[in-house]
Amino acid sequence: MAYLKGNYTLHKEIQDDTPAAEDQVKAFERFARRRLGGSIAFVMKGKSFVWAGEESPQVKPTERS
Amino acid sequence: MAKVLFINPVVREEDDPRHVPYGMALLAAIAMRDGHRVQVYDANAWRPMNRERVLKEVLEADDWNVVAIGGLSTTYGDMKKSVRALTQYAPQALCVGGGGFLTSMPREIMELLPGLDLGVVGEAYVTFPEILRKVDGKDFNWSTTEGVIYRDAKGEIQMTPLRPLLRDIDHLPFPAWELFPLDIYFQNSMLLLSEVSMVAKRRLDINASYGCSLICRFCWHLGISGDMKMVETPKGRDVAFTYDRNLRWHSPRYIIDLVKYARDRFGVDFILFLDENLMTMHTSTRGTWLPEICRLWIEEGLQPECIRRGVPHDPETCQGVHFSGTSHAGLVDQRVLSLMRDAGCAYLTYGLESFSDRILKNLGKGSNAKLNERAIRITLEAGIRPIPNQIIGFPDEFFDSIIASVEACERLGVVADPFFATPYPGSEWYYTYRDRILEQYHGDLEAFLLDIGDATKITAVISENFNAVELLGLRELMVKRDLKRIREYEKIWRSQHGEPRFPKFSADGWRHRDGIEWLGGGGTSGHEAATPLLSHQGS
Repeated sequence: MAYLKGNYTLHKEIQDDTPAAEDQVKAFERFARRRLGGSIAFVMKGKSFVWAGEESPQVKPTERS
Repeated sequence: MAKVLFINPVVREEDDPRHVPYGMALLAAIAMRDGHRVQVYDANAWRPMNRERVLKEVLEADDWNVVAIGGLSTTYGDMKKSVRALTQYAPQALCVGGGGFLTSMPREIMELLPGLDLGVVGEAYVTFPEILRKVDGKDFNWSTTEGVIYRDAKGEIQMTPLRPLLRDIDHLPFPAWELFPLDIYFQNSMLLLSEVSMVAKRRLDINASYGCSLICRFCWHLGISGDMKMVETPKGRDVAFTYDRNLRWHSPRYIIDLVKYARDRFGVDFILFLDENLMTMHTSTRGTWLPEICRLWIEEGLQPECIRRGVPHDPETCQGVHFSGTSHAGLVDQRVLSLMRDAGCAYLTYGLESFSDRILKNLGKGSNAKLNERAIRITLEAGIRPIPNQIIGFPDEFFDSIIASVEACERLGVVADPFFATPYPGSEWYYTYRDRILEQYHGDLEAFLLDIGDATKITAVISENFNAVELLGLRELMVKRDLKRIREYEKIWRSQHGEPRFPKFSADGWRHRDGIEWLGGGGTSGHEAATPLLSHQGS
């Protein structure tokens, strides 16, 4: 990809064709944020989501609606 | 000759790249004219997946002498990343910043970005090529260069006297549009502002004039309108902004030649005038500038075929160039609108802002509610779409002003989702409400800079009567024209707060800043002192 354009030739090719996983995440979240609303919603990865409850929380029958 | 890399930062992350940066394209053309070796990395257009990696490779792609970055304050976050990467991957390069983000607060930006070596304060058309000449000559003594801010040998920030604005702007070369990825920009040529602009296929933007004679308190003029002065502060020299003006406009001949060049070389079918306000130039030239542009536009074959033949526009077959720009409700007239329509004007943006006379008067807008209504009517009658921009959250906003705007919108058929009043750095609002702005960011100026966007989202609130939550809700009700709920909430508000507060604004508000000493001369040609501009006529 010719990311640089100028009045002389550069002999270095700059690549962007093998995005790292974290870049794909960032790209997805960027695009999704631009269209946010209604069913377009997501949970951000890398926000250090911390679950402090039980591993598999059991819901008692009386608590079910 | 110097090897120069320009980096265009990402603008409006949430939107597509739509506008080739005009000033940067001009500076690239000037650098090439002077024989320098120039490359452009347009991060805004490319937006690669691997942003950090691509930026690193760009910075390592050559042995750059100068890396130039610039943009508005809203691009601060992206530029900060570029400066940080530059110190790591191209430490040999002189890092030069310029544009609105720097000129609005040069000292603060130099403090926030320690990797920035040099800042161009105000207009760069003369200063930047002088910097490149000095780099070529290995002369890094910036104390003799006008219009810059730099770090001295002790690392202390120093600012040189302001550089006078360029008088003969017609000698500027045409922008080096070819150095930017135009295919990407052309994919996003369409603008949802009129039937014609909605189907534009190859749009470019031009700047036909510099400055605006009006004194709207939310606005500022990038230090290129004769508005900028040098002041002495406890921290050293800095800039301040006034109502002084030094308006400049290209000759109609230059403008037509530029548009013909854009059409012949790049095949453009639409031109967006970036000018702050075409009508202030119309007034300043006693009504001669726009008619002459329109006459030449038609005479030299730029008039769209659909207008010439009186048929609906077909983007596939129509020859010619449509255009658009910014108008002013208090200055526009039917004659010029008719001429503009005949030449190919598709829409005109009006900063109507509000339909409350109190708001408009205190804003320094040079208009009132009646003139706003008249402007909409005569623009529609001329066959041009008026774009009626609205704002909510003025310092003196209250229920009466919101209701006046909703009623006017209902009466006139205005459909708008108002901007939020935003105190951009460099504006009078920013200086008036600086303490209050910083309070909302726990004293962190950088947090404010990283937060501000295009005023469609709420940031620092400067309303005397409403908080952020109220403004968000009231905007929603404005859009839905829900006067019933607005009036219901007014009763609740009054039961909690009593009477509203309306701040007083003085016509020379700029001068009332504590702790600064005004220095003469500087950015205006022919003005010795900062004098308030009370009228928008005859500047």
